[in-house]
Amino acid sequence: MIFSDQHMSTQIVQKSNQEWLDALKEPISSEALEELRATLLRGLRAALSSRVDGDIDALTEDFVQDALLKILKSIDSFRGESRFTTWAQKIAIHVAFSELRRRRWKDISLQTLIETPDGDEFTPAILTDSSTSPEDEATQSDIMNHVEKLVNEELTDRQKTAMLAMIQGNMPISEIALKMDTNPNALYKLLHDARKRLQSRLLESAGLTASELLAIFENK
Amino acid sequence: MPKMSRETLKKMVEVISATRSDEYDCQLCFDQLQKFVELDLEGKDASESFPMVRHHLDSCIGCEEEYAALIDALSGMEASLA
Repeated sequence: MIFSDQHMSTQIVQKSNQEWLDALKEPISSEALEELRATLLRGLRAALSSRVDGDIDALTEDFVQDALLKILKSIDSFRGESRFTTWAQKIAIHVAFSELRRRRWKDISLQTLIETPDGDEFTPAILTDSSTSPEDEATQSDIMNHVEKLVNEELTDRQKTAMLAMIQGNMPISEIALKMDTNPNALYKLLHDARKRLQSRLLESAGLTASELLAIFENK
Repeated sequence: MPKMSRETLKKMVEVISATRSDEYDCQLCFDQLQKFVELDLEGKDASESFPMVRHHLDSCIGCEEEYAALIDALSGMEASLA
């Protein structure tokens, strides 16, 4: 793939996937490594410039360095289903955001998130949306009351904590997992099991389908 | 456990309603993200080709954040080559 730089009359040649793989397996081409490093830096700067305050140059350099190690270590797992640079950039983004999330959440405990309500105190009598009819409001309140009861009765303490951290606290799964001494996939399974249980109990008792349930709360 | 706010309960109902019996966890979503993103950038319907990835992104803050950042990163890379 060739891009033409009309201003400078030069041509920038993009490597094919196979060319990348050949250059980055032993013996590694230092030129290819530098090209990849520059590519990832460009991408990471574009991604972080609107998301991180202050000087991001040192930050992106560190992230790219870590990403390159991961990329070289897992290069045999690249299956050629996308451009190599897309796959590599994905890894760089993951490295960067994993660290940024850790920094953002490290001083926030699960207990703080769970014990601090995110909005108004739950009072069924309060009508927060005047476009909802009183009947719909009552239906919503009934369902929410019931959900709260199900959460308290059907879930384990661990499931409750994780659900609230995610839904009330907006904490990412990877961070909840870290604080609960588990891994993200195991935590995802814990949450998925909890959600399936709640869904099953709720739909059974309300006599609704999932989409009917959602429709009650949509545009309300 | 303290009483949940109306806002939390509403979100909980949405999350419960959107639950599928088969879902991708973060690892499975991550494994396919590069294909999803490339289709997206080509203007194709990535959600139709990879509905499970889309479903996971809709419910996972961390993965959605990385997806959006990857789009920006790849767009930034292409722009600087043009």
